[in-house]
Amino acid sequence: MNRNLGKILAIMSVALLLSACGGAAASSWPATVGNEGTVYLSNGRNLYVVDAQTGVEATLPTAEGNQPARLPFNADGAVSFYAPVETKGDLLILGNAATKGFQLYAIDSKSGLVKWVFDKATVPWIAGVKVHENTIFAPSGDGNLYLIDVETGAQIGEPIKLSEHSLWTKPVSDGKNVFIENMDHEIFAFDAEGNLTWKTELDSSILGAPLVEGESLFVGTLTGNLYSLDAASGTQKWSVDLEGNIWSTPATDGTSIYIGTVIGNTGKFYSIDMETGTINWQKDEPGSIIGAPAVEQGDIYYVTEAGKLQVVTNAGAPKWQAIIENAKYYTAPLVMDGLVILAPMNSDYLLVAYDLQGAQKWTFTGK
Amino acid sequence: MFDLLIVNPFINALLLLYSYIGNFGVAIIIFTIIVRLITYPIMAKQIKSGAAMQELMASDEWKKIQEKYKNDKEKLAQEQMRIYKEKGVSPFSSCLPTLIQFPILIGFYQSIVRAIGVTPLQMLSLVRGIYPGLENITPNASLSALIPIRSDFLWMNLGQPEYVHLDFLPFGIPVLAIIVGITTYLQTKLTMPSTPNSNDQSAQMNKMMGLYMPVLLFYFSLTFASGLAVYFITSNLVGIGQYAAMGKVNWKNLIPFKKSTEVVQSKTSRKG
Repeated sequence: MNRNLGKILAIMSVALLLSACGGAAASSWPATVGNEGTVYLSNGRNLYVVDAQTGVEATLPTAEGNQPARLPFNADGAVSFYAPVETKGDLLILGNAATKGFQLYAIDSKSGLVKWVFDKATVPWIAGVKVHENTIFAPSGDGNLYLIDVETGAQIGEPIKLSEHSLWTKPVSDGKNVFIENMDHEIFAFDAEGNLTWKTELDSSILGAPLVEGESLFVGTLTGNLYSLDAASGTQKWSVDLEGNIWSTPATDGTSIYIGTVIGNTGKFYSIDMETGTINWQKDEPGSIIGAPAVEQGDIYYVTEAGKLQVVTNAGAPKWQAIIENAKYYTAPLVMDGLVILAPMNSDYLLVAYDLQGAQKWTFTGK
Repeated sequence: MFDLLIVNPFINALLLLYSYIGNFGVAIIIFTIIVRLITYPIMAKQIKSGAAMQELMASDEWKKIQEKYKNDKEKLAQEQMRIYKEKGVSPFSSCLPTLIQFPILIGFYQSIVRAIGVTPLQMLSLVRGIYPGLENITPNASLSALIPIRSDFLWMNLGQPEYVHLDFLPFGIPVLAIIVGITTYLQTKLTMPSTPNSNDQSAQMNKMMGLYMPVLLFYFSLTFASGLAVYFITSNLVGIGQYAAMGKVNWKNLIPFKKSTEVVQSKTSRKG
């Protein structure tokens, strides 16, 4: 009997443990994208479509009448979205992070229906995709970069193997090349046809997409080095060793680079001279800084894992802050149409918006 | 607190092993064996206590009081306690070691899941758990050398559920999950003691366990990262090996619908 009690306890513990950890997909933090007055929120089972000014969820006509725009309406199987959506005309393109299917969807934003599905990947999608000259550059969880026709969803050529590991970051473009990195410390530049222009190896894993500014790329690594690279050749211009790990894309106001770091459960926020890599100023934060900062009208907006939105001047002087108790911010603040829009985790809100003076304007709960 | 005391030390030990071996699948296997060996004395104590309980429950004295006080639960409990005392057997002695093993097994499970880290959130948790001094032991354990952890092992991606796809089949075969199901069934059956009375509650429970556990772990292996399935298989095989080393493997349990010798003997003696 005692032996049985032990076994029953063992089963219950294992069941509880495992069930607590999973579902259709391993969870991650939400992603937001702003486009033409609309906020697209990738958060678990839904891609939400929300009006940026009012926080009201969009609706779309369906056979059953108007329905909240939680897209796509006609997904085949379980979906899970954490990647930032890519918009191209009426199309919304993003990959499925669920552990089955591994689809990349192109959704018609007018109908909410799937226009085409790309299903050649063999592992869930973590990264967002980039449309460059009608070609989708799609870095997949299976380590391949797929090139896909944006109109038809047809694969262009063979997949390009960039890593044995998952690709996690959305590609960026300077109009000529598309830049993408992997966790094997490498950053690549491809032309519009998918030909490799250059490849550069950095000191450790790269977890945040690079920032393209002028003829330079700015990219941080897990070991806390921030690099300035020549966008045309990949040659290093400068690097600076910061305290902690860099998880995000830097931001710029044209003269300085802004980036936050993770130091255990705390963080640091830096302003760095764009030309020389010299640190202008730095600021300790009680929470880690994982989301990318944003720059608007000379002010810098950044969020911390301690549930804080901090706004500072470009000289580092605090302007205002907003804190949501127990919330955690991992997603970059979205500054658009005179508002700063945030996607907290551990909160009743899926989205919360403040005006640029710090007054809360609306919240979105998704209920 | 659990992370601090159990999960993080396990993660770092696992990563240290990985930094020397360079293969995370092999690191999981070796670490599972080490953990099973470390917990072996606890398991041995549990087996011993279980056997003593089993012996007690098969004794004539025990059966007599079961029969005599079958309608008086209170008196039955008193008599049972008296026999426990007389024979020096504690009803909790086989249960306690299991409870002590739990934090270890749970911590080990969590450390594997966290180390595999298939999403940025999991990776963040992993990076935070790595001890700063780890790279002082070997440069291979520095953050830049450790991350990303190579999750490929044999034909699998340890961070994803495993399926083998054959050209002539429209679906994948979950080979690892099947092996988990089989080894769990074998372990449950082989380590299950022969019960004198196959109709008693204990035997029924064992029978249920023998079916339930393989199905449960098969389902988990089907759904979760294959690194976990590697852990389940290694743990099952080492567990069988440990029971075999103690001479406690009950091969007769593998034969379906066959009553064990003890049961037959027991019934014969009752008739006599």
